[in-house]
Amino acid sequence: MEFTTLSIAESLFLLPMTALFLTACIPITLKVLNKNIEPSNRLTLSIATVGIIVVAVLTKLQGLNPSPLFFGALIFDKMAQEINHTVLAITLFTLFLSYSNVNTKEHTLAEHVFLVLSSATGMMTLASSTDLMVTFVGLELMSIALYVLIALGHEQRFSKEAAFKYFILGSFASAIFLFGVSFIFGVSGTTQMHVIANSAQSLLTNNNLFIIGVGMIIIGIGFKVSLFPFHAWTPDVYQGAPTPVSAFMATGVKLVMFAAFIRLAMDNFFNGSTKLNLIMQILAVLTMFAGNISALVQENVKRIVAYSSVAHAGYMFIGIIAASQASSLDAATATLFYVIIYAVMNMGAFAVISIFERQNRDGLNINNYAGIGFKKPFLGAALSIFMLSLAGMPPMVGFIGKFYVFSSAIQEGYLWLTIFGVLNSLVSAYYYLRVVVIMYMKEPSDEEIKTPGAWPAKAVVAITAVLTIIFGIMSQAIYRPSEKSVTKISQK
Amino acid sequence: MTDKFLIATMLLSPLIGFLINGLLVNYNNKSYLRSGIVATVAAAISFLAAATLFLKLLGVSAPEVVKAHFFEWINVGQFKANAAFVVDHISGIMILIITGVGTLIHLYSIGYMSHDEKPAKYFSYLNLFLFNMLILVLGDNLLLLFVGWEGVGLCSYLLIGFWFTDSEKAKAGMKAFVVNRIGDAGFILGLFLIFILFKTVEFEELAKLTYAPELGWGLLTFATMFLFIGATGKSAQIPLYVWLPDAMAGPTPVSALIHAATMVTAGVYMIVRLNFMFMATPNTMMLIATIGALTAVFAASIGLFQNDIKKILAYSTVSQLGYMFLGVGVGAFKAGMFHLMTHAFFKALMFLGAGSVIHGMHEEQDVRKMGGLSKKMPITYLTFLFGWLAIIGTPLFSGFFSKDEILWKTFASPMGSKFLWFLGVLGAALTAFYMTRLMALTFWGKSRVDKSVHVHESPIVMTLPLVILAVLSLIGGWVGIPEVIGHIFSIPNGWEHWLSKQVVDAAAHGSHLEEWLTMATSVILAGCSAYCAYFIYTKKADALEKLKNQYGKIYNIISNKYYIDELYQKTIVVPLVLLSKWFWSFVDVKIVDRTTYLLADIVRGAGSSLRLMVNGNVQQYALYIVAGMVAVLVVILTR
Repeated sequence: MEFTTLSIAESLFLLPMTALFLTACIPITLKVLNKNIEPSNRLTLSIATVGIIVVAVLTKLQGLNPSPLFFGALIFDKMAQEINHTVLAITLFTLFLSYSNVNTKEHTLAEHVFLVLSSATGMMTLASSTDLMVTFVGLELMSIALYVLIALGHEQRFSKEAAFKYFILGSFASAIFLFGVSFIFGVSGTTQMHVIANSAQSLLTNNNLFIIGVGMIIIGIGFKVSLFPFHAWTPDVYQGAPTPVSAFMATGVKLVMFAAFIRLAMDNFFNGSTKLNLIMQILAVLTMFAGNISALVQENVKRIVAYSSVAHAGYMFIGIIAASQASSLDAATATLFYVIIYAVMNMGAFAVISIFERQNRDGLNINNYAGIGFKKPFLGAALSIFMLSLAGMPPMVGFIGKFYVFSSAIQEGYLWLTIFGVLNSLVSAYYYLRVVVIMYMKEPSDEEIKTPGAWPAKAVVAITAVLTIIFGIMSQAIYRPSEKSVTKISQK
Repeated sequence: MTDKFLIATMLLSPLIGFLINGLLVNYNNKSYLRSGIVATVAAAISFLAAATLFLKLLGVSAPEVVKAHFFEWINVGQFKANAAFVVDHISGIMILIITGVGTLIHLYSIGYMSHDEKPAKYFSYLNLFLFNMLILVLGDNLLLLFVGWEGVGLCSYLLIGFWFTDSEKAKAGMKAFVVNRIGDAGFILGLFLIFILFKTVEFEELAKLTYAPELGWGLLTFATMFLFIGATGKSAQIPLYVWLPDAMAGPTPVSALIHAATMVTAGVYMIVRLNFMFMATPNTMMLIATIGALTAVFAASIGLFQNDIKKILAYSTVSQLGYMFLGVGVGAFKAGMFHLMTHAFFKALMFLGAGSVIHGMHEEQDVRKMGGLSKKMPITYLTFLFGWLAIIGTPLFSGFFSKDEILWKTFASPMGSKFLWFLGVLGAALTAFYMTRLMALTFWGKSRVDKSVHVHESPIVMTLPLVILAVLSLIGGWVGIPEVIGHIFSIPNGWEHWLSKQVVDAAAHGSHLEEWLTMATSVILAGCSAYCAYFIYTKKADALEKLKNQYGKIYNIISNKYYIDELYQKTIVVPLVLLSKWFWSFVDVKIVDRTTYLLADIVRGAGSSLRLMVNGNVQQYALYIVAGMVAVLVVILTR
């Protein structure tokens, strides 16, 4: 490794992340300075909003640098920028939900904001990481904040238990990830992904230790994105966590972890070993089936969405498999597209759930949604849009996403994976539609539903609903940027 | 006016109608007149645009096709699909049917839905349906067709479950949706296969290619087979027909528009659109023809003993769709399209007539409680009479020409066979029987109407569409008079000529004498069958009872629809639910309850803190991770 000093210009690239972390500290600092009295929720949210927007602008303004900086640890390319912007949007939406959600709003919002923004800092690190160790650091930064966030729920039992589960299992998965990195370092002598990329293909064909290392990395990341059989925590934790935090995890964590997958795939990590490829295919198929079939009989809306997110991880993983073989740019783009639009529609679904949630986790049973389509036409229509989009109905964007992923898989020759994918999306239609049916075709109860002060969450619903349709019709609008952003770093 | 403007008008006008009724009007507003007029005007504007476009195609310096390219919709890798729409000789006919019949049904709905709680919602769905249906037939590529395909399915589902208060109806909607999704999965797989084979899904590009007939089981055969699975879902053919009879839970005009005239024919349209490709796969064609013929007979036989007026018509629709598939399956695409059009007229007419009866009888649908309505509802009766004459194949009526064309081609085409023709004729005889039974029980004979029900004729907004459709049911077939009759009066067969630019039929061989004979056979058989039904149901009701007692078992099986629903429930739905419960309880909750205690020591090594948990789930989950990891490592390390 060359020892060069960091130039100032190079250091400036860290500005957005630093700014985000500083923003995170403001509300909590105000609280400490003000004799432990919280700043008002409105002030906290305003500070965070301004901070996030500033960070987004900084991310745009700082421009791009197509080769890794900081001694090959971080890259600030178009893909990182696109993911960072999505992460920031997700973070902002999450805070909007937290501000409106009954279980988070009357309770330590300053700490909540601190933790969400810290976690988002970890996500931004992950989006830029080109070094397995930095990936690990980003992953832990993101996760540790999440462990606390989950436990921060208003009432005690569920969220503490969920936090504990996620913590124990998450640490376990992180350890496996780290273990895998050690194998890779031992074999290749470096942890920089774009350096390993040059030798990865030959190592994968003849070095079992390297394959084991890669396999463990897949397990570590697979845990976070809930691939089968590392998915079992997902429904419990999503159900137990405060709804805005579940939304944050289902969208943000999935986004950046799949971004890490994409970077690995582009750096040849999965290219060359037929056995590894076979394992990945089996994981993808089992993940889709486990998610979709388990979701069929769930009664809790959050569990339905949780299992659905397991299934979607399977669809996305098909994209990763397609991207890995020939490092196909099309497939990588399709996957990135899918992860982003999944974040949009899933955030919307969680937003609606969050609005209808009541004290002490009430109002989350699917039967609580009876007749909501008529009592709350706007929210009912929006949730229908999200559900149909998740089910893959055209012209909603969920269809386009699936279509891109499946057609790229077909172009890479994975016909059977595609058939399994199509069959799965067929099964999934049932439980998504069930929600719509209950909203519109069951007699509403006489109970009145009040959603006071939920305008920020409603704004989130409106924005995501419109995007779900617009992106479906004008899919090129985000496909094109994604296409430009996915590149092979190693070739430069 | 430019083509693009016309096409945009035709497409967007129903969409705007949908937005007005769907977003601007309060859901609880009961002003059926206002929302009805908005929706009907939107449909009528669309019809005018469609008619103008059609006239362009008819004109002297007629273009082959009228195209409008709006924007690039999908462009990923080699896959390209534009938001572009094409009006050609096939879709030209479809848009006329969709917007024409559609407008009439919108108009009719104003009367029919006048007592409804949420007319604005109803009309907005109806307009949305028109929009999607137009996308389906106008799309210039398979993917855009699929968008419309899914869209009409969604609207159909929404409209079936429209009266949500009845949980049966909601279930029917759900059933329709899920069964259709099975077909859709087939469709999308077919689309992918076509893309693998030809690297394009645009109809124009596909039509330019040459297809070597694929005699065995190659990819192309599978592709067309998958597409046909899609068609069986949407067009209610064996084995996926089960949703259509249940779909009758929706408002009757919906049954007329969606479940008779337009949406259910989408499968036929798709096959005609890709006729060049299907012609190259004889195995698929044979399957289509066989399924079509079987469906035609099977559904007609179920129709024999149904008592719900709408259910009879529903099975009749399934049966008639079977004829269309029989037609396209033997390579008589033009005849299939022809029957699609005439069927749209007479079946929409009969559904609307049934709606008028139901409306006049105050929501009574059981034919056993009707009878003698011809005097009380004269217009409905007379128009229904036209529909009846058309469907049983009375010479000169539209249904006669189209059905006869299909049967003759089945007889004469090298892809058809005498056996399929026999099934077709048998189906025609059954059709004549159950339709006559329907007429006899509803309109003829003595009134069995409950005294408390005051029967009245429907208002003019409802009877006017009936009259127009009745006229079309008579004259609609005259555009395609077969050559064997036409050459006597020197009337050319306009239909054949019109479609020949885009559709190539299999060549049929047969003498005029044979054609006359087959025609006579089906007409005479149908006539006898109709007379039997008339005789039994108006004169000899007790003879029927005797027969019922004698053949009780067969009667029971048929009137219970061969227990197909129950079969599906037992073999598919129940196992799936059980599997789901198993996955959930076994894989996610219970699996390790026992094994954990044996293996938990491995995990406990990670720290005794795990024991603090109230339930054992964490250990199990950790165990999964370990097990998963071990499995992965085992696969990696074993060669």
